[in-house]
Amino acid sequence: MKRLALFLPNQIRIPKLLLLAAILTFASSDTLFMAHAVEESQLLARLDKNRAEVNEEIHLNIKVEGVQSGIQAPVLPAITGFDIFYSGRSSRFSFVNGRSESLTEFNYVLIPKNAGKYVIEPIEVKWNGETHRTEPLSIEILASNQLSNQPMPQSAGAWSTVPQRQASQVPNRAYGSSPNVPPQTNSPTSLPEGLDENIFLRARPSKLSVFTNEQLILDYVILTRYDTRYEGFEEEPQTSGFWIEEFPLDYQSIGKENEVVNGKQYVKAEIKKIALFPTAPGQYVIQPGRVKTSVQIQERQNSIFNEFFNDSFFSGAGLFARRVAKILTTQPISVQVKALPEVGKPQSFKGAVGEFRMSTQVDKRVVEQNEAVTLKVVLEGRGNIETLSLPALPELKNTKIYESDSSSQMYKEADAIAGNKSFEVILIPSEVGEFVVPSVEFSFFNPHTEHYVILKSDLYKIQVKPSTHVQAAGPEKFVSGMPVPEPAKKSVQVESEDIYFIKEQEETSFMSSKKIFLAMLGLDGILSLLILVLFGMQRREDYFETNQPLKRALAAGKTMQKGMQTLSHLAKKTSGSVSADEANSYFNRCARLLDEYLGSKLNLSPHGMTHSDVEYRLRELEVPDEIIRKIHECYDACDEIRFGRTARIHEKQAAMIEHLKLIFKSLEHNEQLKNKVSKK
Amino acid sequence: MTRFSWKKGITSGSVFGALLVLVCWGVSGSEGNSFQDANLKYREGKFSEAVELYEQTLRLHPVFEVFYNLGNAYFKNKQIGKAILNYERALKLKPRDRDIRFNLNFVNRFVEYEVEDKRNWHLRSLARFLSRLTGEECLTVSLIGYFVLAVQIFVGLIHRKRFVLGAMGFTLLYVTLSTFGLAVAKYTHLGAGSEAVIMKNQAEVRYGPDENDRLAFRLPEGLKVFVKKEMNDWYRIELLNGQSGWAMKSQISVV
Repeated sequence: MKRLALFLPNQIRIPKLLLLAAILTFASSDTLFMAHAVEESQLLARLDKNRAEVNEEIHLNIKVEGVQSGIQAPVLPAITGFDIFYSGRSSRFSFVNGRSESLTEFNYVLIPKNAGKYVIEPIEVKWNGETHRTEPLSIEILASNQLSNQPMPQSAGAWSTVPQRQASQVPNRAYGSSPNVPPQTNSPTSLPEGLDENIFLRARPSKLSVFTNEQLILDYVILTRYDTRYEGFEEEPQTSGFWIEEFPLDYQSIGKENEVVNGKQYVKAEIKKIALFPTAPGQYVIQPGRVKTSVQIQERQNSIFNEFFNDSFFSGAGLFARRVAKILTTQPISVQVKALPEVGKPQSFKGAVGEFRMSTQVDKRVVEQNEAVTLKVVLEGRGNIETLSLPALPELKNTKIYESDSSSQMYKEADAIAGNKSFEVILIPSEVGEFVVPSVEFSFFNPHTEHYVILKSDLYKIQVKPSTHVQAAGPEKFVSGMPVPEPAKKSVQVESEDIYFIKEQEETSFMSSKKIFLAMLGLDGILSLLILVLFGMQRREDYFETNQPLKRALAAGKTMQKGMQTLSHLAKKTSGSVSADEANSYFNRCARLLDEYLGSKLNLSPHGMTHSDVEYRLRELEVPDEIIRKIHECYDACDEIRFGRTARIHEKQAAMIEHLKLIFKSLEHNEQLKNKVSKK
Repeated sequence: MTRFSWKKGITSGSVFGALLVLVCWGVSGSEGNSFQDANLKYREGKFSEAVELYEQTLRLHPVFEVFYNLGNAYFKNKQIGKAILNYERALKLKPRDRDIRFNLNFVNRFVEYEVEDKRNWHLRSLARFLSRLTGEECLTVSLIGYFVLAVQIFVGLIHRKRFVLGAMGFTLLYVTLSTFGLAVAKYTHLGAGSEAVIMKNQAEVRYGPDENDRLAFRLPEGLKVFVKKEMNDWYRIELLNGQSGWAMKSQISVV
């Protein structure tokens, strides 16, 4: 809820007092040395009249002169038969030609309740630790209407801080020079019964009959004779059917004006002002809402605390002040909204009502092809500014048009809402030559003259030069480097959501990830195996390089096997008659094979090897005698054939092969021989 | 004992090979037909029949397209849990397919609850990265790295040169080992367990593998969980926020 302690005159003067305090601080040093220039202090109390009627307002003014600071609030004596309202304090200070003058005033309003003669006892004011007293004041109170029959005496006081205005001087709240001056239905010329006549709310429309979209000002004013605090709207006005614009109020000036109603003077506070724009014709009733205030009733409390707290700085909120809440309202307001006339309505009319002016301008007169020109259209005047729209632009050949931006500003113009709204239009001519920005037409309805008004802007001629940019081929002759205005781009809107459709076909790829994986697995496996084999072979070779007997021994077996196969083959080949040479050759081969085998196996050189060397080595290896004998038999058989004994050659060949096999088998399985070879 | 005849062997082998090719062709042809039949049923809006045909196709031919289409058919049939399960299976085979991801995310919006991933940020980042790869892809990269490294070693052996692990060798070794590590992380789901989906709405999760154990919490249909271990008819499951319990196997399907 809006809470605005807004309007009491004493509150408004606080900044002035602070300023005064500052001035006094600066000036105090000078005044110390210029005592001769300081005026004498003085206390005065005056009433603005010495005769009044019951319930008539009497102003009491207490004036302190020649005292710059330290003045305490006056202590009023008990004044029976009067309601007393504190209406503020004011101070003045001047320093001219070395002479200072200061003046502080305290103002009160006295409302007499009963007729009779009264004497107001001396009023006490304290400053600089001393108590000062005024002279007693006398006043005569007459019964109501008695005074009008008597000649009015001059006011007892020659001056008053409250500006006096006659009722006829109250400014007319009717709006401007409108012919539709509203009847003052809500003006409290006669106050409603049952209401407090010392405070009331006034809601006054500027007109009671308006056209659609015509401006109607609704003004809320509190008139009060109390020390009042405005606490906001408890219930906001109901204005359905109207477009509303709130008036900015100058709260600094609130409460400064006074107004006389029914012969009584009120302090007037304008608390709210709204501009209403009816949206459709018909009869409307505006409910004015309810305003919350609190008022302070001055009660005499002759105490030392009150002397201090009753000072105007505290807005009358003394410890012993009584503040009463008051809810204010007023009568509903009936407004008739007329339809706009159809006769003479221009084609360009878009609903604007009021008084407007139009101005246009372009930012460039010479442009390149496809360069943007900005046309600015400004509408200004009184009316509903926010609802004004851009006047229609005629279609232009070979020109792209984009609405770029609009901005509006509102302000108060002689008790009405006024403002301006500007529109920017970007024009992009694509043809070289003279480009003419055509006249823009704007029309509105003037409610005062009750006629439509058409406004037309000037023509603008723009020189379009050939573009220096390279043109890109495109369906709409879109030019690269062309400034694209923002409104031309839109994001894609998602209308709805769902899952994507099924896959219609399976993906077929020659090299699927699975195939690649399997291929790599196979390749890696083969490569790993190859590496292992190669590595093993190389290690074996390296080993044999350092162990020749083992190498010879291992190679001997293979040589022997191969040789035996050859011999068997030769034996088969010579199955028929065998010549002496063939036999000789065959058994020579047998002897060489045996020599090679035994030499390699026993690590002996086959060239210098004798039968006894072989026998000796074989016996060392504990080869059985039978095998040794067989070896001897083999050698003997070979010798026989060499010396020409070729009888029964086939039998000898077969026996030779058998003997060789036996020798081979025996020696290959001889464990001692194996161990010896491996040890070597 | 009759002697082996090469002629007879070649003849019988040819007949067997021809039969095998025919059977394989027939099988592959029937897969294609049932897939297309299922697609037709889907297009006609007969989603229940499409589901049956897709399920048949899957038994012989488990490829991601069939899983994806089956997910779609289940979703159209208003079976959120099964739809999510099949999308997850499709995603496992084709993790970078945008359609699968979109549909899975879309269907996940129908799952009532959301479980906050309370793992460390680096685990979350790694899981997000791994979700874009298959285990096979990680292993393939690892194998390629190993292959290049092995070729280097092999060539060195042939030329009888002493093998030195240079900068390139180190890089290859690093690639090989790290991708192998990723593959391991992928297959083990960073130690979270096997991925699974809740198949029953308001599935009960208990503190122990028994009906008499106290109810820990309930889970909605379609929620993804991780199976840590199993015991008889129960799975020990864990959520990404660390909550765990035992749920009946009938309520859960492993992806």
